[in-house]
This record gives sequence, C-alpha cells and structure tokens, in this order.
Amino acid sequence: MLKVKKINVGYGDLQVLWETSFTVKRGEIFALVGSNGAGKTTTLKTISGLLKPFSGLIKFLDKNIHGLHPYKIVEEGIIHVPEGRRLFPGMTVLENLELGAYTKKARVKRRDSLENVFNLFPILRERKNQLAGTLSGGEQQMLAIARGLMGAPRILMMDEPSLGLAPKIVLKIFDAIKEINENGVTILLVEQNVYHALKIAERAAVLESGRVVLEGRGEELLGDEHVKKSYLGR
Amino acid sequence: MLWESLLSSIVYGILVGGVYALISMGLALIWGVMDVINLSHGELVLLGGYVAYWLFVLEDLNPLLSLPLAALVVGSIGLIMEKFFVSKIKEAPALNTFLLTYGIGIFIANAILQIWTADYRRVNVSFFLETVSLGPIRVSRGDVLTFSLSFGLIMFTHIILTKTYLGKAIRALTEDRIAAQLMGINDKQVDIIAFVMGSMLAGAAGSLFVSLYYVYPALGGWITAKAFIIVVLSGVGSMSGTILGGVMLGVAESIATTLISASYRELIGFVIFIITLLIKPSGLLGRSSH
Amino acid sequence: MGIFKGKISSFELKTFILVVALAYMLPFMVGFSAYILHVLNLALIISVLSLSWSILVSCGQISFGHAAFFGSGAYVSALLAIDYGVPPPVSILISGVFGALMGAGIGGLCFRLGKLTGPYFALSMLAFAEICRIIVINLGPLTRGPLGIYDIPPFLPVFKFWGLTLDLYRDKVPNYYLLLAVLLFTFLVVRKVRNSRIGFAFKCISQDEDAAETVGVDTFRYKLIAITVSGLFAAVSGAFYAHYTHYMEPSHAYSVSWTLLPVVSSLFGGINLLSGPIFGCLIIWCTDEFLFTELLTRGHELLLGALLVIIVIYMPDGFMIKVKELLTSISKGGKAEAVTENVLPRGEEELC
Repeated sequence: MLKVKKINVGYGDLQVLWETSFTVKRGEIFALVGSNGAGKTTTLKTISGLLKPFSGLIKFLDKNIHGLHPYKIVEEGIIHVPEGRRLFPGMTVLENLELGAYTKKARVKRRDSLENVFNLFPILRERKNQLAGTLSGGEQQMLAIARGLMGAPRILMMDEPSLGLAPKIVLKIFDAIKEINENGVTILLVEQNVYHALKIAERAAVLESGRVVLEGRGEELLGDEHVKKSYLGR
Repeated sequence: MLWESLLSSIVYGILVGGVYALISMGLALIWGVMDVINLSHGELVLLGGYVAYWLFVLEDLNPLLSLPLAALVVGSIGLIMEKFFVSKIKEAPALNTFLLTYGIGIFIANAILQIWTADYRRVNVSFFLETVSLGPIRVSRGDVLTFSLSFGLIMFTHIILTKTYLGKAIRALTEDRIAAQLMGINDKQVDIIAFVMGSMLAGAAGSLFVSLYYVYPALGGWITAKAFIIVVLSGVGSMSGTILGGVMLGVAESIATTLISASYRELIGFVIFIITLLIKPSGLLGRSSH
Repeated sequence: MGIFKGKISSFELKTFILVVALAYMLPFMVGFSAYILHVLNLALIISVLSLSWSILVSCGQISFGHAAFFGSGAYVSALLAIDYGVPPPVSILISGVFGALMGAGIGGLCFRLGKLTGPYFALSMLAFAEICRIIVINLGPLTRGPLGIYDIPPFLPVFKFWGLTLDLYRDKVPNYYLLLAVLLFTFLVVRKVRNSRIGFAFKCISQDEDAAETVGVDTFRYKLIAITVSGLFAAVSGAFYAHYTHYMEPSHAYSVSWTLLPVVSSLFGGINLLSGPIFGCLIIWCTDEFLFTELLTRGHELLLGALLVIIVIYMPDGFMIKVKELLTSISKGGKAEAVTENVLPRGEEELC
C-alpha cells in the first residue's frame, strides 16, 4: 500500500536517511523501531511531505507522492500524528477534532467520525469544550490520535504515541491502536518502546543510523538476537 | 467642571479606541498567522482613508458607504504585496520581512504624496459633526457611528475566525504551522487569505479614520505604532484583548491630552508607546504574543 | 596610533590605498565642479551616519530611528555654536558626546529595563525619533521651535588678512578633504571595533543572542557599547550636516530620510562588509540626488523605498559582496583568504 524506496533525506548538509526502503501492506500494523536519532521521525516527516527527499521514491497506491505539498498528501488519506502531539492548545477539543477533518473528503464524514472517536475515547466527549492545552498528557495523546482519525485516514502514521506517558496509559493507547487497526485502518507505528511495538505489529523494520538493518514479522524480530541485545536489554 | 471634561474625554477615548482596535486587528491577524509584522500597515490604513476621501470629493459618497470599496482596493494591494513580495522571502530571517514591509510602507506613503499631495485631508460630513447628548456629555454622531461600525466589523471578523473552517484554519496556523499542514491545510493559500483579510480590515478602518481625523502622507508610521502597541498590549489573536487594548490606548491618550496640553497630543501617544514597550513587551491583557 | 594596528593583509591594504588615492583625486576628476562636490560632501557626511547605523546592525539590532541621534546632534552643535559662541569643531565634539550619552540612555532603557529585541527595539527607536522631534518643536525658547535655526556657522573658518578673504567654507574642496578625513577616521574606528573582541561579541549576539548569553557573553554590555558608539557617530554626522548646510529645522533634522538612507545604503552595500555602508551610501546618495530627485520632485523617497524592497528580495547580501568576489577572483590565489577576514560568516543569520 505504501512503498518507500531508497530514499535519501536530510536537513541541509546533514544526511539522516540512507537508501531507506520498506513497504507497508494494506490492513496491517507496521512498526518502525530504533533508538533515538535513528531517523524514524525523519522517515515519517518525509512521507507526510514536511521534508523533501534528495532522491528515492515514495509510492502510495501506485501513485508517486514524494515531493508533494503536505496538504496534498493528507488529501490522499495519509495522516501523520506527529511526535509531541502538537495539538492546538488555545483551541477547544472539539475545534481540534474539527480541524482534523479539514479536507473535503473528511469533512463529509465529519459526524460519523466524531461519533467514532468519542466511542473510542469517551473521555474526549466529556472534555469537548475544554481547551486542548488544559488536558492531561494521556488525554492529549488520545486527542492527537482522535484528531488524526477525523481525517478519514487510509493509513495512520503515529510517531511515539507512548512517549512520556504512565505505563497504564501506554497500555490503553496500544489497545486503542489495535482497535483502530481492527476497524480497517492501516497503521505505521514509530516507537522507541520496542517491546510493545513489536508485540502488536504484524511486521516491522529496525532502523539504525538511517538505514534499515532488519525487516520481518513482529514476533520474529522479538526473538532476534540482535534486537534482544540492543533494544530489549536481554 | 474638570470631572465633566474628564468624563467626556473618557467617552471620547472609548469611541476612538474602537477604530484603534479595528486598525490593530488587521495587523494582529497577519502577525499571528505569518509571523510578519507588517510595518506598512499604517500606510494601508491611510490608503483606505484616501480612497474614501476621493470618493467623497469626486462622487460625494458618504465615507461609510465607501467603506467596502476602500476595503476592496486596499485588499487588492495586500494581495499584490503578499504574492509578489512577502511570500518571496518567507524562508529568510524575520527581520528581512520587517525591512521589506518598511520599504513598502515608504513606497506607499510617497505614492500617496504623489497622488494627493502633502495637504491635510478629511471628510467633513455635516451629519457627522452634529452632536448628540449622552447624559451630561455631548458626543458627535460621527464618533458614535464609526465606533459602532468598528465594533461591528470586529465582531464580524471574530465570527469568521471562530465559526468558519477558513477561520479555524487561520487560527490553527497561528498556533502551530507544522501541525496545521498535517491537518491538510494549504498554508500558503491561507497565508494569502489572511494577508488580504488583514489589508481589507486596514482599508475599512482607513475609511472610518478619515471621517474622524485629518490624514496626511506621513501619518502612516504613527498609525502603525498605535496598532503595534495595541497588539503588544492585548497579545496576538485575542479579540476581547484587542478591543480592550484599543479602548485603553484611546482613553489614556484622551485623558492625557485633556490634562496636559493639546500640543503634546502626539508626544503623549509616543510616550505611552515607549512606556508600554518598556514595562510589558508582551500580552498584558490576553495571551502573550510570543 | 592604535587604530592602525591589527591585521591588515596586503590585499586589503592595497585596496584601501587605491580607494583613498581615488578619493583624493576625485575633485580633480570632476573638474572642481562646486555642485558635484557639494553633493559628494553631503554623501560623505551621510556615509558616517550609515556606518554608525551598521555598527548597531553588526550587533544584531535594527534601528528605525537613527534620526533621533542625527537630529539631536545637529541641534546640539548648532545651538552651542550660535547661542554660546562655542567654536564649531568643539561643538561638534560635544554633540558627539551628547549622542553617545543619548545612545547609552536609550540603550539602558531598551536593553535593560525593557529587554527589547528585534522589532520591539526597532520600533521604539522610531518612537524616540518622533519624541525628539516633538520636543524640539515645542521647546521654542531654547530651540526656536518649528521655524528652525538659520545661519549656523561653518566648521571651516573664514580668514581675513590684508583685505583679502580666504573663505574656506565657500570653497567646496577643503570641505571635501576634511569630510573625507572624518569619514576615514570613522571607518578606522569602526573597523577597529568590529575586528576586536568587542566586535566578536557583536557577531555572536547578532547570530544568536540566547546562545551568546549562555556561553557567558554579557549581551547587555555589548549592546550598550554598540548603541553608544553608534549614537556618537550618528550625532557627529548630524552636527557636520547642520554646520555644512547651516540651516536646520525640526522636521528636517528628524526626517525619516535619516533613518531610511542608512538602512538602504547599508543593505545595498552589504552589512557584512565593513566598507559596505560607505560605498552603498555614496552610490545611493548620488543616485538619489542626481536621478531620483530629478525624476520626482516631491517624494523621491518613493524610489528609495522601492529600492529597499528590491534589495531585500533579490540581493540581501548587498552588491559589494559581488564586487569583492570579482576583485578576489581577479587577484591571485592566496588573497582570497584576506577577503573573508572582513566578511561575517554567511548564512541565515546574515541580516539579523
């Protein structure tokens, strides 16, 4: 469904990704794991159009999307839930969700989507008229994911959804991710929390210093010696 | 006697403050969305004023009726400014756009000088000059009318910003440009719209301004300074703050003028400007601007 | 003299000598035309103003109100000379001190009390210039109010002996050399400052003030130095202007031109180059005088504004960078190094 092929990306003179390739299949949860600074966020930024690759190509449903403006990519149904959530803190929860459904396609389905995310995260319904900036960390992450869902995604890319959250809430978030996937949304998950990510992912890739060093089924990778040693501390 | 004149100067200050608030709203809109402090904002206001003046002299059109036309003319100037100049240097450091709009301001001021000369111009409508009594105070109809219109326009803009998708996109860009792009907002397009909206507000404010005050080409910097100080007082993008800031500035000026001396009127404006900056560089009333 | 110490590469020295020699020859080249020399003299005076503006920019601060220093310098010197009989050379020096104090005062207010940066500082300078103008207009008994001051004495004396009059003032040539010397002196001082540790601190502040602060640069102190030196030379420039044109009135003294010209000139010449503001100013002033004022009798600033827009969009580095690159490529290999000595690192921060 989403094919990333030999992309080279960087900021100015500093190259971050080197010939990175992987493929996300329709309906699966694909995890991109690796340590800090490996280039995971850069990969997502490149797919969503915030960064332009020096070379290489990105295909979504047989359409080349690399180099397109971010809003065009959102219109294709590729939704990026960014690292650090990046909500609109001075706007209400409801307004944040409405902005999630900004594109024409998403706007049509607005009511259904809203019902949908409120069922997924009931707490947001209670908080809907509160300013986003006043929510707790876990609620903010839920709102960020919900805002992404409002965009009627065909593929939802999530960057570190567990970052800075209490263990109990992390589990809740991962449950929600599974549920979203079961409802038919393909998911590209970027995580530092390698164990949890590999646990729910059908397939995964390990990124090290901007290169994909391993790719395979989630369970396989969990059993891999290198992964165990480097990321799971066993 | 003193109390009465103080009271009437407060009322006058409030009425003038409404126009001030309208002027500053356009500046705040562009500042918030694009992080561009448009130093030619005062000149855009002037331009709106001169358009209204011209329509009044040539076509005998009431300045309140020429308001939409002034907004349209200045809005198109804004469109040209953003499309051909400001958007060209978006990536450059913020001070570059600052210098750029300073240059554009000088250009417009002198273009006004070419077209309308340096004479003081004002729209004198006899209907406006008649006074009405508000209890012990007498105010001119023009002041009341321009205040109400300013207030109406501010409310109208506020509704656009809070109720429409476009308005929400504008606010989203103000809060977080990257996140806004990830929502599927075409930021470049919204930039243009915001710039044109800000310019139209300036033009509309100008047509109201010219029926209150005399205008002349060098007045632009003075207007920009006022608008700037109101935004600093109220924070970027806070509507109630903008109105309150405008009224505060209007009242402070008006009282100081009554108490001190009319010949220092302009001086008082600038002293208030400096003092405000020195004491509180951001967001006295609303959220902080940066 | 200490001023002449410091690294001078042979390429730089050669260029310097060449330019000074050219400047020395200029009156001969224009056939001693009084009109041309008059315009050139004014250009030299305004070049001092541009240099003073660029000092502040080298420290990362943009001022939209250098007219405050220029006009006040003009008024202080003129009033001292007329009302108190102070000889012009002395009154010009005093006006320089006044400008420095004013700079320090404004700097203290803006940088310490208000902690103003970027646009906030730039606009408060604009307000200071306006405040000065209004005060001068309203202090009639002291400043002669809006009508201005006439018959400001020239800074070059008139000798009378044996019934002959040697009027050094009327003759534009002595003025030219004197003003050239003043400009040269200013340039050398500015060069000294910018190549010193102070200049290095300026550079740090202009690139990232917060970072400079964290590595222990006392940013307030250096910004204060910058605005004090800047105020000094701007006031001196105003004083020379007043004595040279011997007429001054408030709206001329505090005209927006004295802010606009240094801005346009410095950007045109290139603010990363020490000599940029001078060459920029000479070209801009002469173009303005010979061309723009011919094209538009009133409001010739329109073209200056347009020029500023063009410069900011199309050549934010200034044209002198191009000239220097050209000169370097003509001269031989090892000299390329010498050029970069004076050029601040290029990059995003350049215009800050």
